[in-house]
Amino acid sequence: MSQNPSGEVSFRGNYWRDRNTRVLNPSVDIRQDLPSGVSLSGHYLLDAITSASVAAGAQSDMPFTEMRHEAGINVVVPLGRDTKHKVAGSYRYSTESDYFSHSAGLRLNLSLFRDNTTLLIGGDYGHNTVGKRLGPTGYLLMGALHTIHLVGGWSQVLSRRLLATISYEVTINKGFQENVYRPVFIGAERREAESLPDYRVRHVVAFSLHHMSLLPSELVPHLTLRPALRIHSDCWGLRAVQPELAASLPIGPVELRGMFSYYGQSGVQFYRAETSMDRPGIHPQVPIYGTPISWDQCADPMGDGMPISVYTSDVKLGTFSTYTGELQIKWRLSFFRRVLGPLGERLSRSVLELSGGMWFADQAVGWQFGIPLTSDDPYAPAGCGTVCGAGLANLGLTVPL
Amino acid sequence: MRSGVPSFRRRVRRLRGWLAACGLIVMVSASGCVVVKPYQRELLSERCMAAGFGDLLELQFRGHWEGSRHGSEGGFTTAGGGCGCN
Repeated sequence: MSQNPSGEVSFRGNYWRDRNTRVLNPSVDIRQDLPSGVSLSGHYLLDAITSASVAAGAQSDMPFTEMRHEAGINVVVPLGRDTKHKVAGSYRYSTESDYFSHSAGLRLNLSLFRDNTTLLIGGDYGHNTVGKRLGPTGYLLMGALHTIHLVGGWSQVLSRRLLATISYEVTINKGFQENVYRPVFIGAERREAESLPDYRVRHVVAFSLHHMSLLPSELVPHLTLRPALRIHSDCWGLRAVQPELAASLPIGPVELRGMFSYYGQSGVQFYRAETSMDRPGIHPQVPIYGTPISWDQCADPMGDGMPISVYTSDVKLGTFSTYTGELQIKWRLSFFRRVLGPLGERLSRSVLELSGGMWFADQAVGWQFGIPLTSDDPYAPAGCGTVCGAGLANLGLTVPL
Repeated sequence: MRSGVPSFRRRVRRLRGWLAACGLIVMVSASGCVVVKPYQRELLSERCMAAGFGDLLELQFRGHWEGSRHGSEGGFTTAGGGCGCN
């Protein structure tokens, strides 16, 4: 599906459903290219997250709905008339009842060797204010989180149908990183919120290929495969690998896409599931500590270096694997060309997309917001037992401007 | 429970090193000897040959929801975070 050259507006609705969480995510994105070569774009999205988890902020097992609004702008400016080098600047603001985030970024794209090599250099800074809800309108300020994200990328044409990309990203988080609604059991005691180090450095190396195979058919001209691998590591001790394979197959006005991804992670060094303590009604994999961990690694270079007590019940910091499969169909509405005159001409360049997929995890990470408190069901109120799954779907429409 | 973790980490570290080395060697070699001329770029300019098959919005969205459900974040060259969904 070719991109509309002058500009387009996209409406999307994303949907996520697992055992205790439902996310509705409508968004609108608009892009306009100017004759000078400058490209302007903006977006707005709403995250409506409904969860039955107490740790997500609900006062009981009744479902709790949290709204997050996000808006952002992006400007891409070419560096001269005879060059394809570009610089891009972006800003994004996100707000919800207890979390407020500003983020700004710069990207420099260099196109070299007759466009056979493309280099990307960029960085983002984020300032996040974290609060704790106090009733329907108030919140208590808990802290601030500063994030610095640096990225470098290299795309290289290897042949007329083969492209390779390698990138490296580092993210430095400094400040308040806890979820204030996530209680932790330490021995027989229940602490109201986890305690995490206030400094974290994350690294990601990503490698991907795009290979196009030509097919002997006018209706189905080619098949593009995209194998990729991402390798994650951070100074809390988390290691992860994520291989995936994606495919794109155009069939006339329709494009079919498929993607399968595996993600395997080993937990952070201070994650504990000390199952020797038998607590009725609590799943064995639930993080429980005999005593807090004294943590002096990955220290903030600007800090005092004193060890701190850490403990978490965030199962996302444990050891688990996930599998994601997704199918997507994009349909260019070219039949409008024969009807409705000029409006039909415009609509004929519109694209309707529909996708659906499943996400599975081999441990209880699907219940992401906290730990089960007490229940007769060892997997309740929101756990997934040994395997949990979620469904995801998307409906979108892109219209040229 | 964590007895398998060190070997997993070792494998990841070894894999990361090999991959980075191989990727760099291939790409450095290729950048010196492969030049596809502008009139030969018809297939390379197809949208499906771009990152995320040309849909950066989808890429951003995927980076967002994966970051809130996995312990790691990133790999899509976009900044993550911006929400209290940790």
